[in-house]
Amino acid sequence: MSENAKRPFTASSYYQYLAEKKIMGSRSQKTGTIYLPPKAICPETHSSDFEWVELSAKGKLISFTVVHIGPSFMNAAGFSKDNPYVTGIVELEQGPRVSARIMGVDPKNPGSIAIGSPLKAEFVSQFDGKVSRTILAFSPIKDEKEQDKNMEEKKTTTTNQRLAGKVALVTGGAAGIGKATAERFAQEGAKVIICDLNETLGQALVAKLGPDASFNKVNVANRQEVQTWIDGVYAKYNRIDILVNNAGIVRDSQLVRVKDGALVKQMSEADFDLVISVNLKGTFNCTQAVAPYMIKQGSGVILNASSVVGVDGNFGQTNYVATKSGVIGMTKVWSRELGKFNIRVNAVAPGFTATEILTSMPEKVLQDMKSHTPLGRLGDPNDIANAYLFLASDEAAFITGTVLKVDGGLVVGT
Amino acid sequence: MKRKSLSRKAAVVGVGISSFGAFPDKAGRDLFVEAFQDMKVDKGFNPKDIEALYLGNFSGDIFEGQAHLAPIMADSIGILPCPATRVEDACASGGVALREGLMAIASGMYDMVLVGGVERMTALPTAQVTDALGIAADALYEVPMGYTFPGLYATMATAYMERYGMKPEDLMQVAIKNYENGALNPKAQFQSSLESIMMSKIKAAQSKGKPVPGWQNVMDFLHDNSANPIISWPLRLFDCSPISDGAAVLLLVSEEIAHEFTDHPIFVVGSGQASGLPLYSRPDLTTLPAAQKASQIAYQMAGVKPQDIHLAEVHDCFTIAELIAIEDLGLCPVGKSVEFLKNGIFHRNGTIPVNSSGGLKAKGHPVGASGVAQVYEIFRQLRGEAGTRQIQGTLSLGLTHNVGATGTTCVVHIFERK
Repeated sequence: MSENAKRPFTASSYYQYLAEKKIMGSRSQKTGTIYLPPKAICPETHSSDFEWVELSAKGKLISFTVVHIGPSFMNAAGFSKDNPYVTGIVELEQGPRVSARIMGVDPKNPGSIAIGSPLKAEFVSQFDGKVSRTILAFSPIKDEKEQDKNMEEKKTTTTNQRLAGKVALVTGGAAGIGKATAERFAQEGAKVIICDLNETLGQALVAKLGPDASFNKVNVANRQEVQTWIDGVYAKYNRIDILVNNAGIVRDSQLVRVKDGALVKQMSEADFDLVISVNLKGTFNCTQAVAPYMIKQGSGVILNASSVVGVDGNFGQTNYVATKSGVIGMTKVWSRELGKFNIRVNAVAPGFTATEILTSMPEKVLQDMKSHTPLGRLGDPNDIANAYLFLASDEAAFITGTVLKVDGGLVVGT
Repeated sequence: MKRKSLSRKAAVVGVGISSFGAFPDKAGRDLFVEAFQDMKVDKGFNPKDIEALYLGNFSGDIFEGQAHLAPIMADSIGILPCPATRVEDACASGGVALREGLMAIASGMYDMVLVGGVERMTALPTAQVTDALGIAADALYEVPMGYTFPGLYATMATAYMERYGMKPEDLMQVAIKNYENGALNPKAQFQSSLESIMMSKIKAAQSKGKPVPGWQNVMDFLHDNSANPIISWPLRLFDCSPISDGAAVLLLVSEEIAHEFTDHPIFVVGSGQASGLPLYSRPDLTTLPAAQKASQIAYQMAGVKPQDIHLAEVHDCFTIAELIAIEDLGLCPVGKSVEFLKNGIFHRNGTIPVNSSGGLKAKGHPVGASGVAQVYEIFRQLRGEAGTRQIQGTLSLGLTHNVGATGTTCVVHIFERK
């Protein structure tokens, strides 16, 4: 009996299989009917005569909607009436139906989305307000010829190719701002190499970015892993033009919390050390590994992820703010040390940007942030990606040692 | 199939309803008291004789931070210590509460029960109401994919358009009709036709010196993205029922004693309820199988056919839901509801008026109360007490169709004036 067969028919096992990029249903041994999500009791025979069966990741679109006003967790993920998404019902080749996000179609033009069209599954990680799950999404299977034609059109018409031929590294590139930056850089002709701890998302993104892109699972806090990664990239591409030190985490709590004169909670040493090791030391590790290659080739761009809180501070973020201020300091040091080798070093300080990292923040805080932003909205990952693009491009040839705030004019009060 | 019948019949002898709308100063219990005090029984009744309360309520827990509503409502209308039971079947809670009351009388346990429904929804911001309603869908297999209720019903609408060639404009005809009916209902949340709403917006712009919208007619207004924004394509704002506060009650008694309360009791002659698959796994997205099943059971119990029905209150939580309901109930052939609607069949002066109260769309949709409020309308219409919206002609058979979620629950009742 295989390991699969031993797994019980439960809702959680369905999601476990999705995380393994498998769509598993249960098949009644008596009637042959396949159920998805898996059932434990057959409604026809009222017995438990089921076995697991892996289903094809292909199907067709049965119906759909374009959601302009969605649930809170989708709003937190950056969707809105101006940035709607498509969700629908898909029938798999073997018959069962699932609801799934529909990607690769134009939400602004629902008339162009064809019911009955063939789709293939993607496995995307999504935070639903409580937990992060791998859910099913589907995108259209295009005729191969048509796909080639589209690729050609994209190459010639969509961008200015401002990073044509450049080799760009993005740490923490599988989601959020890192993902948007990787996508933007790829559109502009760069060969994008991303690293991240989330292998599922990283591989999915690379598959989308095309043959010039690659992914490595790297913990930036681990010097050995970083060195191996950077050496490998240089060996393969023979140059490294751009490094975006984007990887970052939060572990928020107050320095100390006192109630009725007694200490009730404080930021743990472990949380302090962890955030320092990823955000601050990770940036140090990657830059130190890349700099010798950039010096050797006589050019390079290093871009560091700071934050508006690194400039202004923020309640409950001792560790995070320390790293984001520290990044500004390192930017200024490295711009001095590396300028003579034609290596530019700059930092970007995003304001509050609609990524998963914000889903841990209370809605009230987010509303408050919006109300303090003259442009009246949260940042979109693409807003930040565009700033990185500018600083990475030759248009910024005379800019180094600076911190570019991309925050909609955010003014944080007392 | 063996014809199922009640071993003891029951009749509605009184109904009451609160105003529907947004009432920031009222708690759920205030609305319930208002509905109870609105209930007038022709020959009077003693509240102390009420033997049980069945209360439809979807989520006082989330909306008001108040669970266990039934004994609180019983206390607020002074009928303790009678047993009080809350019924939760999402938006079908009220209709299912009626069915529970009906079965309690049929069983011989009670002779007089109060059936009520209440929901106080507007205390929460819209986004939180949407999230709270959303959990009536499948929280594992629908909600994580970004589905909300407008999204689920929009998915039905897309499938319906694909199969029957309906246009989004056709849905607007449902809204136009129901707002016209709501304009005549003094308890409705919206007591204006869509044309009046459009005109008042034009006047407001004129008096404030703002740019005056160039709408030539209601369809222009309904196509304007700023006046009628898309919520979940193809559904727009005016395709969706509102967020509402409200309550409704009815007094249900056994057949033997009905004439002690009124000379014109309205008998509950058919009752059907069924459950269905969640939307995503349903083989056909253009019908609610639970509604078909529930109505078949109700028709059989009543010994009547769809064409015998004189008027219906159906669950138009979204415009597409009314079109599908009409077909599921057999009030017109499958795929023909738009054509029949355009021909005026379901208008107040048509052959089978549908949602003469304004429906959930215009009257309002305090979810737990809606199923009971539908009976309020049928009771008034069958007794000729509906005021300016009274349907002309002889009315003896009316029907209510109350849906929970996307049709995972449906309950249908048939009422007769004998």
